[in-house]
Amino acid sequence: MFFLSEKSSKRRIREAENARRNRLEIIKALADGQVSRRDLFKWGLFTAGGLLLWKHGLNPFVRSAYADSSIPTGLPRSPLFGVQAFTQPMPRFDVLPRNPNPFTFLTPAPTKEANTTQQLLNPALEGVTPGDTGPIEGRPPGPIWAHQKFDTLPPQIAVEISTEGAKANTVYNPGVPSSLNSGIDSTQPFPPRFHPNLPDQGPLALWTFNGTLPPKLLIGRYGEGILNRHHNKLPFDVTQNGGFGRHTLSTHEHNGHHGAENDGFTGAFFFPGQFYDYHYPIVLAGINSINTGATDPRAGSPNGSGGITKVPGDWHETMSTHWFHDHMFSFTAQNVYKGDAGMFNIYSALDRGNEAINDGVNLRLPSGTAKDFGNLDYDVNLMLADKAWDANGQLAFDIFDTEDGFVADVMTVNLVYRPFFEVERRKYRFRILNGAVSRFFKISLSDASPMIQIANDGNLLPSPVVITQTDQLGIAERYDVVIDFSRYSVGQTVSMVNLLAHEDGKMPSNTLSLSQALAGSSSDPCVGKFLEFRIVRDPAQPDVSQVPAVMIPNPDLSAIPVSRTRTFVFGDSADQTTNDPVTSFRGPWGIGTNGGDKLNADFGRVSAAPKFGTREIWTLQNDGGGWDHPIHIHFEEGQILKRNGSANNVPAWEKGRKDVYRLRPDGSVTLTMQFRDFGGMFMEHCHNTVHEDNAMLLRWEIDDGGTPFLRPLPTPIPRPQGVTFEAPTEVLNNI
Amino acid sequence: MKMHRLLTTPVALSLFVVVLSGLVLWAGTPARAAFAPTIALIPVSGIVSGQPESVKFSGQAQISSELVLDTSKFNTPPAVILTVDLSGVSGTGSSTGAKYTAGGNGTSVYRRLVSADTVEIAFPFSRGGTISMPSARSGVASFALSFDLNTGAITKGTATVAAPSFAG
Repeated sequence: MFFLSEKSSKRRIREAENARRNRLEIIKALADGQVSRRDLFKWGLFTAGGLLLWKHGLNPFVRSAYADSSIPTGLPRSPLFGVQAFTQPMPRFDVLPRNPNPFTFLTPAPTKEANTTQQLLNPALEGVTPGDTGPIEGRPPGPIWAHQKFDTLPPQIAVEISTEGAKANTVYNPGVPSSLNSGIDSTQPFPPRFHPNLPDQGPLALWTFNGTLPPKLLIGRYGEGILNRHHNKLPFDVTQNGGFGRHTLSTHEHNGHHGAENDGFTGAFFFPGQFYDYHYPIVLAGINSINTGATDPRAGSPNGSGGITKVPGDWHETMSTHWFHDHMFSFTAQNVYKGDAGMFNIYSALDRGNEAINDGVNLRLPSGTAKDFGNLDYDVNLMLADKAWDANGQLAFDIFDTEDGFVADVMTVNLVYRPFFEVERRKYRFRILNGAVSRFFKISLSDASPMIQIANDGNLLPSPVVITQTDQLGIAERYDVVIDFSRYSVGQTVSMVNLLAHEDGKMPSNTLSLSQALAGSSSDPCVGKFLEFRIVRDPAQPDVSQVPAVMIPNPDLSAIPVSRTRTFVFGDSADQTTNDPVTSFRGPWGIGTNGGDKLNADFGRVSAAPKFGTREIWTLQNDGGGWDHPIHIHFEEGQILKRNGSANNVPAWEKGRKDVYRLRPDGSVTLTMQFRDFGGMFMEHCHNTVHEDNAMLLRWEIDDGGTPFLRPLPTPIPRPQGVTFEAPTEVLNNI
Repeated sequence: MKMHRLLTTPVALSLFVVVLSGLVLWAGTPARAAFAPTIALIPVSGIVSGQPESVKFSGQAQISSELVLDTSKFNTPPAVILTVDLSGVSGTGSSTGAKYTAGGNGTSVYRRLVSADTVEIAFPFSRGGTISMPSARSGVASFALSFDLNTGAITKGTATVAAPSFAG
């Protein structure tokens, strides 16, 4: 087991604690830049396969010198300081303020190309000497990284966020009254704690958006572009990280249909003291080719007064539940785990967030009625993540099992420990995000009652699916489910239960039956009940929400020729063919493209370049070994055509559009995508972020879009003094 | 960089790499271990009691079993991925005689491969030809399965259906 039993001997726990501290020293040195991964390889702390040396006192999987069993040493359990489950309310997400007119609200005003106004740099930044200056915006400069469609689709809403160390939240906005937030008084400061009786997280332990809890919720609607100005307020000194995490950032709007300059490209990171302007036009895919006259009301957006503002594009491409998170090259796992993740609800004429408006277009999903759109009363974001903390209760991380991944021992929802949530006797929509590093979840209600799955990833399904347990939620996948609490009486409780046990980060080790999971006998502390619903009252207003039998059918691509097919193989024992000190990375994992060798990540290498305006079919293949890989393809939504070579293997809940594809052990997924509307450099990677950070990532580009992008793009090399560019380190044949 | 009880120098550690070269080579061998899934038809029967009426189920569940071998460094025990299809199972209402449809097709579970295993899966069902809310109810199917430990194939099995009886 990856965590020691609570019954382990004190000697055994001491031994594990020493091993953990030793690894933390190395993690910190790595994160601080004191040593490089190459150094670790050179010193033999990593093997060539990326494994931590099997050295007693260092590797958690070395068998105890003092034990005769075959159980790995494991890690000490996170201390709970006497805290019990289900003794604190679950906080709703903290809704980010939306400010009109970015060009007057933001200072300086946003610009199409990066703002290169110089500022004096803090010499604590790496590579900076006193007197050095650098640009105030970290976005790569020049026309290639200019905001696409900035003139034709200028942003209308400004959102200003920061990433910074933990502090109390004095401006918490749950978007609902206290009665719909389990009694939480949002006027009181919200402390940076996983539970009221656990210690505050220090500013170096927890890095979140705006430095506060709960996690942040961005609200958007189609046709209303958002300018997200993201300030990096992390410590200038890279060593001030609480032991893990990197102070450079690149924020990915997962799975936004935006230009690559706004995608959070892993190599387009920015430094403390800088900001980065992300422009999210929020357009329907096909904006340039389908419904260009904006005549179809199904391609629409709430107009603020009960009507619809029609927008161009394909209404079949309407998206709903996104999230945003750090994507810093080789540090994504650490930074996301440290708290740099939020969610993004996108509203449309179809998915309006108002259950009462009956205009023949609105699907009237559970939400509320008071506002024209975006009612959160009965539309609840849930971010699931396993966490661990040290003896002082501070967030802890261990990167040293690079082969598998990191699984922790404490279950959190919305970044608090096993909470309860008060509900009325009516239907609720839950937007469930797997925000873990390497853990998969499988969710059931504790009484096995039916739920309705309405969406997978960012997209409403063609038809709802009644389930009693979800499929596995891979990391970064989102499942929207509707639960009808009218079947319960006031005073009853029912819980969400995790049925999946892990022994390591490679994949779940066992699916427990509901009775087994409820029995509490699993050695995995994250199995069992994790969120308790308390049915507290009848609904204040009649529940007029619906779950229609038809929601959003898939775009019909049958008439669009397939311009080419590609195959990507995801596995270990990858090679590295490049040696760039910034872009190239060595690790155990890699991706083989079109029959070529599996290669470690290099964000300077171009591995694929679909032609602008075309459709392709991609097959993602797991190279085996007992691992699973949830593969994320940026920018474009795909439709799964086959699993393991057959359309019959695609379950009903995967028949919509997706952006994360769980391969399953030895499995494959064949999908089709179009490449439209925007261009630039995007990524494809495993969203087990430990795999991603250890080199299972590649760059692809949309080519031939006219000007100004491509053939192929120069690679950004960020420095505090400014971003420079270099030619791609490698362009694979036949891209 | 301060280390706790790490007395070995980097130079000495580098020697470990040589010693471990066999391990590295082993870890570097192709890890793929693909096995085609096998299909078994399992007879299902039982009654889900409850309101508005009890429902008697019968038919055959189709279970696909895929062997998963861990060829990585830990050689954890073999497992199987079981994918359950209940489309061949239907129910009859005890008082109305109405037909009920079982859902949950495509539900997958991972299980350690053992010679005999009991796999319990909840499933939704509705009166009529489709599974729909709010009338959907839940049943629990308990599969008693025997496996071929070499291939992961199901060699025999039966299943009973009952109403859920969880504490909630």
